[in-house]
Amino acid sequence: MNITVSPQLQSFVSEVKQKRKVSLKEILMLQSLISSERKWMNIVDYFMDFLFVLGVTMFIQIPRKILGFEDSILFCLLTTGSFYGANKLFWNFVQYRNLYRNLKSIGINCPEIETLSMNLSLIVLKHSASNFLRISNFLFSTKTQKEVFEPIVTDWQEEYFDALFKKEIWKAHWINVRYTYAFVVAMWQKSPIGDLIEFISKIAK
Amino acid sequence: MKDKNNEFPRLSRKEFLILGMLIGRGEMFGLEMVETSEGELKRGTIYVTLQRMGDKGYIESREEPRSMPEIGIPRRKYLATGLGERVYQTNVKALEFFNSDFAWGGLN
Repeated sequence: MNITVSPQLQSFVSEVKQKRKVSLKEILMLQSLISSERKWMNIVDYFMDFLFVLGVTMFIQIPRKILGFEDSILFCLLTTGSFYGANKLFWNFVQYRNLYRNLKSIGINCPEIETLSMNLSLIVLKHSASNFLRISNFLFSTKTQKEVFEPIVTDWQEEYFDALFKKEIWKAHWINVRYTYAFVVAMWQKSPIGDLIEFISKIAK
Repeated sequence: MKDKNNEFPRLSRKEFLILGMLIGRGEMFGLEMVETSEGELKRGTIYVTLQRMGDKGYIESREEPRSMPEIGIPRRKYLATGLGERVYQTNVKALEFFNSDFAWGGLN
């Protein structure tokens, strides 16, 4: 399923693509443009950081305590710090991978990002409209899909990505709500009950 | 037997509005029509109405290929057909006649 990219976002993506090295800041910025779920992703990142550091520290320190080693505070700090650094690096790779997938989902190939990424199964953030299209594709004819539901999704993505580009996150959320309602209304109207109501109102005239 | 050509091609309010816009402005996208109508047309219902109008032969649509930097599902542009224009003009004339003094005077 293709995702529409507004011209502004597209030009930003090509700007990023032209650079040999992509900074993490730019990636995060790009990710926030593509996905509205960035805040949630950050919470997951921090939680994973915390779990990783806690796990590794316990894994090293507890057996050493049992074996009777008296470690200095400096040693504890160094081990924990280095594992934290390694963990950060690991999650940076994860973010590269995520960005690569996000870009790929909108039809842009960034091999320079792929080489930095690791082969991990991750949450791929998709625009919710793709799920709606899958439902309507299952329920309605190809003609209806092409003439009714695809244009709704096209408008949805157009307005959504434009709002994200302007950093109007709340507006983007509002657009999602608005178009979800629009999509449901269209599905209702195209259902046999909707057709029946149309037929009755025609007779009533 | 009832002659089919004697049936008056009535338009709903939305259909009338859409045809008016398409005749006045030429080819338009669905979202453009929603924005131009200032709240009269809704995002959820416009494409269903457009599809029904297409089935009746009042309008036709074509897919507008995206220009190079853009990717995704092609957008659909709508245009009034000859039949659509004729039906619209008929409705406008009928409405004008209905609102004219002549029509009301005739009733009195």
